[in-house]
Amino acid sequence: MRRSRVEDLPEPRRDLTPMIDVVFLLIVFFMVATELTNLELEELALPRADQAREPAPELGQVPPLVINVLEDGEVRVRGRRLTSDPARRGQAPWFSDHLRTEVAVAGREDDASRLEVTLRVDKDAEFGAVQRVFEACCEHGVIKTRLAADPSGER
Amino acid sequence: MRRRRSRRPEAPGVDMELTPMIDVVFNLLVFFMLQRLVVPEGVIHAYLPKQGTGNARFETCDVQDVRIKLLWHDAQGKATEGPGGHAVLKLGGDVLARAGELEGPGALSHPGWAELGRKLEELRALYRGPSRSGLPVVIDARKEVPTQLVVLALNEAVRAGIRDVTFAAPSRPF
Repeated sequence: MRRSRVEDLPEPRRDLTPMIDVVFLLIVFFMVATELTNLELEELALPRADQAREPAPELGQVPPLVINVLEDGEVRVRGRRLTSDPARRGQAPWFSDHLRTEVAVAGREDDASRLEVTLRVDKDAEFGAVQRVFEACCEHGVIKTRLAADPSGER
Repeated sequence: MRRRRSRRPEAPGVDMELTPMIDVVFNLLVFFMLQRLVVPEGVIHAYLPKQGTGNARFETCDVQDVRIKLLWHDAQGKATEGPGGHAVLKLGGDVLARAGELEGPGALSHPGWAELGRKLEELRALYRGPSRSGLPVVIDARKEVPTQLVVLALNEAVRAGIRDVTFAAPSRPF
């Protein structure tokens, strides 16, 4: 008895390689995007405050400038190490100079008070470091500041 | 001449099964991505005094202002500087937490904070001054005080409904 020709045909197989390629590219894209977003946020322990609220986005609002103050008082803006401590001047770029550039680049020389600053400070950092950042903000006309806090804090 | 086909069955091709590898890689990726997840953060608004540019300093406050003081004292209760000191919480002349009480895990739940919030609420209700934004409160913290304590003072002011909170200049004596 003769065998059917259909049985001789090779079994169709799904080629997974293009799907894997696409999925890998998507994953790499999202990982890089996540990494860039996290560049603004340094890993530090925020102070607890149960009255802290998630900021409500306003229409046309420029994203705030995020300033991180680490436990040892070091200032970091977008991953860049800065200092506001006169004792460390020369070891790292001066924070006040950097803030002036930020204000100028954002085109807010005419009205720096529109620039909003979110200050992320380690809970164990000395308040003197925050005072120096506040002073630099005042110096450049930046008055809208927000202190980041962990709202899960207990009273 | 027609060739005779071999009756031996063809050996199956060697296929690499990719599914387990994909599973493992996906699991690893999900693990590392979740590890980077950022915990949602809240903010407390802290407006600085608008004084233009130049040598801007913090706002000068009247004697009438309510002042939350976070001082830095040694074990004998005297004002000190540098490491080795302890935070002291005062509202005006009232001591709400003594040196050493605002340290360790109990610092956040110290009754002084609740007392501070209660007193601020009372003062806010009694305020009849000229400020349109209500009772002005100044947080006067020494530079050595941990930021956590300053944020807790601000937290209590916000809880008490105070809208006009400023930070005292670091070098201003009180």
